[in-house]
Amino acid sequence: MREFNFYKTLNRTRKVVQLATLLFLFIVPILIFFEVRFIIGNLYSITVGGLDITDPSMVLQNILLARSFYVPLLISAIIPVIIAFLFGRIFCSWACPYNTILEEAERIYSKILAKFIMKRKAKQANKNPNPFIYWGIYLFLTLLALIIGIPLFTFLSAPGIISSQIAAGIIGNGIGLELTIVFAILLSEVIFGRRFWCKYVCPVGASFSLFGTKKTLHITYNELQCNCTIKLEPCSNSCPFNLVPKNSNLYPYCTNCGLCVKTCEKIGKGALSFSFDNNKNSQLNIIQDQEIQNKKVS
Amino acid sequence: MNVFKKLLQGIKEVINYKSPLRPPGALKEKDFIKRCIKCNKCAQICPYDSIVMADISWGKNMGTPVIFPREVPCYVCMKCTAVCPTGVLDTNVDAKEKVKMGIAEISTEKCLPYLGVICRACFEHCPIFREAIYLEDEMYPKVNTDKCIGCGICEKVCSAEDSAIIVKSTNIII
Repeated sequence: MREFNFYKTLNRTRKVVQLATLLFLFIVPILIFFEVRFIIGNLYSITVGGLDITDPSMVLQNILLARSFYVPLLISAIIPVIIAFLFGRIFCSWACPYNTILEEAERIYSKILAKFIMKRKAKQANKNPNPFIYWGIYLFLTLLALIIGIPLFTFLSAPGIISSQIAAGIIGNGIGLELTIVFAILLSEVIFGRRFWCKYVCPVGASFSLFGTKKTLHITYNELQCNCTIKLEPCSNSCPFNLVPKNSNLYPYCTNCGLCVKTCEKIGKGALSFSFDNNKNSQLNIIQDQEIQNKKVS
Repeated sequence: MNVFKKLLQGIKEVINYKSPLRPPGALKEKDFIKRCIKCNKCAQICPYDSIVMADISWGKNMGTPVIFPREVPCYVCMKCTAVCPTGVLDTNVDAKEKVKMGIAEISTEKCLPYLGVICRACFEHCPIFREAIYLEDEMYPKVNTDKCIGCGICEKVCSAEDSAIIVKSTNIII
C-alpha cells in the first residue's frame, strides 16, 4: 500500500516538475526583460549564477564539428551526464517541454474522445523494437551532421527550439519561423505514429541514452507478482511510447516516466518497479520461491 | 565574361555591406557556424540589446547572434564573450581594443565634412578615441584600419542620410 502511494506521488512530482520547467522557460526571459540577468540561456545551455549547464548532445555536436575540445564546455555537461548515468533519460520525461505539451495534449485528446467516440483499440506491440534501429538513426544523424558541416542537432532539438522561441517572443526579437521545425516534428508524429520522434529520432534523448548502463535506474519486472487477467496489458497500454515494459530491449527507448509502474500498482499488484540494481529481480524471485516452499512444508 | 565578373563583384559588395556583424571576439565564420549552439546567452546578457538572433531568413545561420549596427551598435562592454559556453566568442578578447568585428569605411561622397559641412559625430563617439577615427586637417574624418574595432557606433551616429560611414564585417555572413 505504501509503495502504491510512492509511485503515485512520484508521477505527481513529475507533473509538477514538468510544469515548473515550462514556467521557468517563461520566467527567465521575463526576468531578463526587467534587467535581472541572474539566469540566462535556454535549454541548449543555461547559466545559473556562474554555473553553466549544457545539453550533452550539443557538446557532442560541438566536439564532432569543431574536431577539438573546449574544456569549459565539457565541464558544463557534467551535471546532465551524471543525471543520465544515475536515472537514464529522465530529462525527456521530467523536463522536456515538447514531451510535456504532447503528454497533456494526449491526455485531453483521449478524454474528449472517450466521451464522443468509442475508445479506439490501441495497436499493441508484442515486443519492443530492436535497439539497433535507435542507434542506427542516431549514427546516421551524427554522420550527416559531420558530412554537411551544419549543426544538425540544434535544428532538431525540439526542447531547445521551443525554449529559445519563448525567450525570443518575450524579449522582443519576435517569434521566428523556427517554430515550423517543431510543427514539422509534430506532423512526423501524425504520419509515422504516436511519439515517433521522441522514441526513435530525437538526438537530445539519444545523447542521454548514450550514458545508460546496467546500473542506471530501470524498470524491473517480477513475473511472480504479475497476475493481470486483462488481455490488453495495462502496463504496456499506459506507455506513451507504446513499449512493453515486461519484455527485454526496453532501453534505450524508455524514458523512465513511470506511468507503467503507476498503472501496475493501481490495476495489477506491483510486478513492475524501479530499481538501480540489476540483480534485485532475481533475488526477489529466490526469496519468494523460498517462501512458497516454506508454506508448502508447513 | 568581364561583365559577369563585375556583376559578381557587385553582388559580393552588396552582401558585404548588408552583412551584419558578429559579436565581439567571434571566430571565423566557418568555425562559428559549426560551434555555436544558439543558446542566446550573449543576446540575453547584452545590456543594450545590440545582439539579436538571426531569424530563419538567414538559413543555416538562424538563431545565431548578429549585430545590426545601424539599429543598435555594439558598445563594447565585453559582457558577451565572458558568458559564451562554447568559446565561439573568444574569452581572451576581454578589452575593447582587442575586438575586431569589422572595419569602418567612409564614403567621401556622402560624408558631410567632405561636402563642406562641419560634423564630428563619428570622431567624437568612437570608443577608441582619436585613434580609430582621426581628423585630417582638423576637418575630415579618416579611419585607421589597424585600430578600428568595427563596433558600428559611428555608423549609428552618422548624421548623413543612409550613413556615410559603414562598417564592413570581417565575417561575411550569407
